[in-house]
Amino acid sequence: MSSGDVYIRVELERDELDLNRAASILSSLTSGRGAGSLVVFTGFVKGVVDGRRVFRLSYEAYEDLAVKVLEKIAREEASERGVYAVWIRHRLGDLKPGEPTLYVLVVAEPRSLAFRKASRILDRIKREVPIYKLESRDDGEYWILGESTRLKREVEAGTVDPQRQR
Amino acid sequence: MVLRVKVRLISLLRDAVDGRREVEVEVGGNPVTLGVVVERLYELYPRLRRLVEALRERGINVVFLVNGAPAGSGTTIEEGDVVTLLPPASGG
Repeated sequence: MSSGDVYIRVELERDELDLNRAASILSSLTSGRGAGSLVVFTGFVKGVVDGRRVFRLSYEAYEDLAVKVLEKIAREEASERGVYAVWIRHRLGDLKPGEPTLYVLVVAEPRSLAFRKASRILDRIKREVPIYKLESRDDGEYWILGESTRLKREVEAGTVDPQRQR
Repeated sequence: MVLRVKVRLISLLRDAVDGRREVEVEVGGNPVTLGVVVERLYELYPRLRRLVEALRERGINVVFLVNGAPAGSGTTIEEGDVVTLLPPASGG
């Protein structure tokens, strides 16, 4: 979808994003208007956390609200002069180590603005969007809350074992 | 006035209600408030109360929504409203 002169697209999807195709779409939409910088951030599943082997990271979302919050973040960050496009895709479902989890693409001029916006959008996604993850690893399952708090999932639910980690 | 209210739970909160994504609670009162609904929910699922309180003690607050909008314990609940409990976001 588009908002004024800025191309904005947010997605919650199970599938990976074809980055070459996405870059081609964004450059063709914005190069004629003077843009020449595309910054791409991709997050992927860590294979080791705290010295333990990770098997998978399972993402779920409160989808209606998550899409609205993603749109709000994209619109607000795209409102600064010089931003031509913001494309966010967050993946859902069970993802294995090395698999991409999140894509943030920003077209802006100058390039320093594109880097800054991509970083800020990522930070806001982590804090504001109702997306949740369960980490499965060789010492059990952990709910991840916020940036770095892990709560071990117990067989008798509701008796979590808090374990704060960086 | 007796209402049947749908309550949706996600992530670790779901574990405290036997893994269900949605439960229904029957509550009375005039008016019925979110606080009354949540208290009834805690009576039905004491593990959920323990979990929410344990999280709060660690500075982790659960957010309550009514029909998708943030709400407080005094928010009036009407027939057909949907209550949602959300833990802190962890996207990325």
